[in-house]
Amino acid sequence: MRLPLVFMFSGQGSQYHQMGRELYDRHPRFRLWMDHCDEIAEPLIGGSLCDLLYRKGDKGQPFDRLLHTSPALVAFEFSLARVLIEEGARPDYLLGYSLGELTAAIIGGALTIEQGIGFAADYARLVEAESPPATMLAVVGVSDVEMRYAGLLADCWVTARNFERHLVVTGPVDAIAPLRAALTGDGVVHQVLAVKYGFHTGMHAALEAPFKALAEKVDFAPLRTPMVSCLDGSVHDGESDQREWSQRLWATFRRPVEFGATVRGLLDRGDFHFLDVGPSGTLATFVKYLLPVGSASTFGDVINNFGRDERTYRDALQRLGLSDVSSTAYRQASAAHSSGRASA
Amino acid sequence: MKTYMFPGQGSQARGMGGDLFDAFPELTAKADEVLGYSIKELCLEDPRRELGKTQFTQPALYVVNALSYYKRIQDTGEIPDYLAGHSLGEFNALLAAECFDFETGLKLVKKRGELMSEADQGAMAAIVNASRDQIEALLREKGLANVDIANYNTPLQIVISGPTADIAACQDIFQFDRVMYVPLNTSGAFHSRLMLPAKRKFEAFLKKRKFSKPKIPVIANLTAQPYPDAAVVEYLSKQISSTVLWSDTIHHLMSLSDAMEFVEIGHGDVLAKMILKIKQIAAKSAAEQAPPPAPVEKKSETPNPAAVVSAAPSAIAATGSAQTESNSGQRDDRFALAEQKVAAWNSRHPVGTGVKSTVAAHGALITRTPAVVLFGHRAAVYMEGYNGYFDLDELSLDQTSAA
Repeated sequence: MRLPLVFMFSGQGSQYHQMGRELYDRHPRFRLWMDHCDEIAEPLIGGSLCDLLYRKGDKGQPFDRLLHTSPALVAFEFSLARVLIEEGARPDYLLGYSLGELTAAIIGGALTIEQGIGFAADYARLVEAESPPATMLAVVGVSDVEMRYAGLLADCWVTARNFERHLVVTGPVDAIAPLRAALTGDGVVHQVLAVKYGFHTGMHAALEAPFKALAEKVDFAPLRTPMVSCLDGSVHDGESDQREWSQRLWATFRRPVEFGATVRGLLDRGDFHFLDVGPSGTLATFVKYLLPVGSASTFGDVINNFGRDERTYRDALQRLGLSDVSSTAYRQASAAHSSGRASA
Repeated sequence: MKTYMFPGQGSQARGMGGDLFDAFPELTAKADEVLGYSIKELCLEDPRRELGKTQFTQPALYVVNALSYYKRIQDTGEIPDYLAGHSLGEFNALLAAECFDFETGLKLVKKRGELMSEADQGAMAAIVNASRDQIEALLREKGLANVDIANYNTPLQIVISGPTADIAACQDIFQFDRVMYVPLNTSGAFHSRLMLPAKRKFEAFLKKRKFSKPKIPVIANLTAQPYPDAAVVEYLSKQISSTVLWSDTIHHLMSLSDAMEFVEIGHGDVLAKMILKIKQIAAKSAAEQAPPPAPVEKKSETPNPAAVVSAAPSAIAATGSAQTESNSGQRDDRFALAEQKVAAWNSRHPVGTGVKSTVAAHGALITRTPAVVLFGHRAAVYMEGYNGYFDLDELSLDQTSAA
């Protein structure tokens, strides 16, 4: 009896240059889907995603131009999910974290990949044009940040609650600076995310009308796999109204990400295998801290920042009781090919 | 030489038609009268989110295509030499050829949209980077006899159509090599046998009307040949439940003139993009007709997914296209022979069989697909990890890895 499988798609901030590079080089099907997405994105962003990710991008350089990162994340997560599904991993639920909701909608069949990448690019242009600069800051290891730093949080928003000692605070650059100074002074671990805009805050209130105008243009088909919303843990499936989609997507990008509450809500329903189908494995880590002692639920990532993609990917499949046919076959074939040559 | 071509479902988008409705107020009023709602509101604002529903999509596209055509004639005065339309777009091609008038065409399309939307059992998906032969062979192989080919859009972009569960089952089959399965958001299984009831009702509806013969040649979806003089009833009804031979239509038109100019009339550029692909594939296969250079052996860390592993000089390129055969009788014999080889192979060797190449030292190979007939005469099977097919005649069973 296998556990129901949840595909989790991470959002802005989880991307980096060279994400999935080893898989792109060695897994022909992953490369095929990435190149397919590249072809779709190129006219929309005026350049090649795979060039940006793999051929120009240095892992140490910041990868934070929204017009590039949004379509890149959607393309990466879609391609990774497709190869997992092709190897036989069939998700029972799709959970999107912020922008990850878009990939979830694509994998769930509500949007085509063209619509999804198109929407990601449109929304990125809108934010780049209309949104003031902001800082998104992950704060780790303190359970009462909101109480303890209430004064410094006056002009900021808590934009994500990931687990008890991990949240994200977002605000104008000038408002976040004193908070960072205080956190540094108190020795509280914190990290600036690779996102330069105030997602999930009142700073984006003015974007509501143009955002909904973009969402209204998109025709959503009925979902074929249920989606779990990180707004409130609600599960959506099958037919849904176009306006409801536009409302919910806006709320997803405007209101805080309640990842912790969402996962806890799922755990009340039963046990799951939570698979992080994003590039950095952060959501799998969050789940690790959310699981109660003795929980039968499990979690894992498919790709992370430590390179060795192929190995992580293979391990992820093995945990699902699947073998990685495409790249194994390729390795055997290349071994056979070279040994064949050697003896020829 | 100039061909005007009209798009069909999939090209609709809110905002289509723009200021055409104001430019042609009388036709717009006529459309409103036939349809019983405002066509301008549907296309520009779509307040009730109906534009994606077949019974609305079809009239909306027909009106926008028609007004776009009148505008084009007004602006340029250029009458095309040939006409074609993709599925629903064929009604606009026939309208431009004066087989019927604007109002009659709209009534036909309204009826067609209603009938097709009622047949809401079924689904469609696009299969990219597989040839028609491959797709048909695999469908036969897997016993998916209920799946039909809906559109032959380009040699490597083919749409399948049929019962929802059968179309979903195709996802597992079409994920080898560079083949991609892309589900489509349609309300039913258009251009498949599931449309036969709609086809019969539409035929009865068409028979009540008189049609003129085309004044400009229209290349038909059904045959990829020009419409005969009195074929409107037969062709438009059959078209609902049979394959749209779009790629053949374009090839037919290209064969009429080296400098055939294609102009897409209506919203978007779906057809223009298809033509680009068709031309690219034609150019590529022309290049591949030339004898291939000897394969260069190079040790490379990164596979090129498009690379074709050459087992031997006679290995088959996965992307190759059918060689033109001058002798059709000979072709049939070779096809029958290849079919026999394939059937014999598949009855004995399941997917995952370990084999060896008898012509090159590849070591242990594992089959990834059932055997298929390629290019109408080659019996071949696809190997794990190789982006190419191996000829059955060049394989022996690998006893060492026999599980």
